[in-house]
Amino acid sequence: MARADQPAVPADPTIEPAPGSGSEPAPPPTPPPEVDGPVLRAPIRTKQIVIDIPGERSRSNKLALAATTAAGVLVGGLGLYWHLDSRTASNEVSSDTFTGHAWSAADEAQVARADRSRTRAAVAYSIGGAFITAAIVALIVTEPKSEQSVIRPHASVEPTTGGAVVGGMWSF
Amino acid sequence: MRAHWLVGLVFAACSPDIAAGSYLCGPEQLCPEGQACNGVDNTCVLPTQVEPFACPDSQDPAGDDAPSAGQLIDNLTCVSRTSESKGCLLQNDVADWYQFDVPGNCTAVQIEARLTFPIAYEPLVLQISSMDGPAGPAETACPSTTFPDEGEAIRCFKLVVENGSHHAIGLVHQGSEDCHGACANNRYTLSLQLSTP
Repeated sequence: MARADQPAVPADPTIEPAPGSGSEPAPPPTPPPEVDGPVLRAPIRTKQIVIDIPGERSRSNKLALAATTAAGVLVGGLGLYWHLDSRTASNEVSSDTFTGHAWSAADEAQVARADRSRTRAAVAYSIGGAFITAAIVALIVTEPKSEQSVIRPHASVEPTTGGAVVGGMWSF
Repeated sequence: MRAHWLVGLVFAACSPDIAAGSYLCGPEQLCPEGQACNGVDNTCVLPTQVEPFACPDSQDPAGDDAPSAGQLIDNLTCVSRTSESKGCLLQNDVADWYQFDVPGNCTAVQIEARLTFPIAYEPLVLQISSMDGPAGPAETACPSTTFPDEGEAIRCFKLVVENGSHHAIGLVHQGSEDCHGACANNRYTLSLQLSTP
């Protein structure tokens, strides 16, 4: 909002034609107005500022998401451990050429270990994957909505003796 | 399809991949799952490739079931060469006996016997009979430098004997670890020599 006081401009003087001239005299030039104080020559235009304020997740939401992700990573890590253990046990007995070695109860145990770890790895991968998927879905579903805020600036010019005070205000 | 291939790649390495013929048969014809013991060469093969246990007639002579009727190992000297006898002890065979004489002119003499056989079939036990007497167990610790080949077991026997004595070494069934009778036979190699103790 802008406001400026303007001093009153004196009215044009009345000019009367000289007697006997017979013609209408040309109007005299309008003298510039005499102003003592500052004059606002251009109006201050206010413009709205729109700001998007992203919503913030609550602490409990963050904790829940972090816990679910951590659980997924942890269980997936266990799955990786069992996966590698299964591969190790499997590689110890796997062969495509004659080994010269007699099949033994220890080899049977390696096969059983490979199968056991393989099953555990599959289960852990499934559970870990479910946790990670749940965390992603929850991250999307619980995303807080952003808010819009409008800022309306106000400028003012206050003439003072020998100058002016320029000020600004914002309301929102 | 691609996901299926990826899952297969990840888990394929987690299952043992054992080609037929990779392993010798273990105790009591133990083999990897999906394979069986081949009776000819004691290797683990596909069940469709299995051949039954077989033994040439020459390695299973009849009538050697008693010490006095054992196959003769002759020409042993006080410090003899190693006499090696290959044979089979079938399920319906009680024992295989080998008899020999100790020379009478030795300063001191001992019997050294070594028996090796595949672990895939019923283990064998050594016995000794001196001067056609009763048979008794004959097994002593093998020398620390003696190791059986892979897939085989070894039995050793050492005994100081008198000059001019007569002895018989026999091989009998152990009576256990015979696949409930399904593998109650075996091939063997008996090494015998006389030496100075």
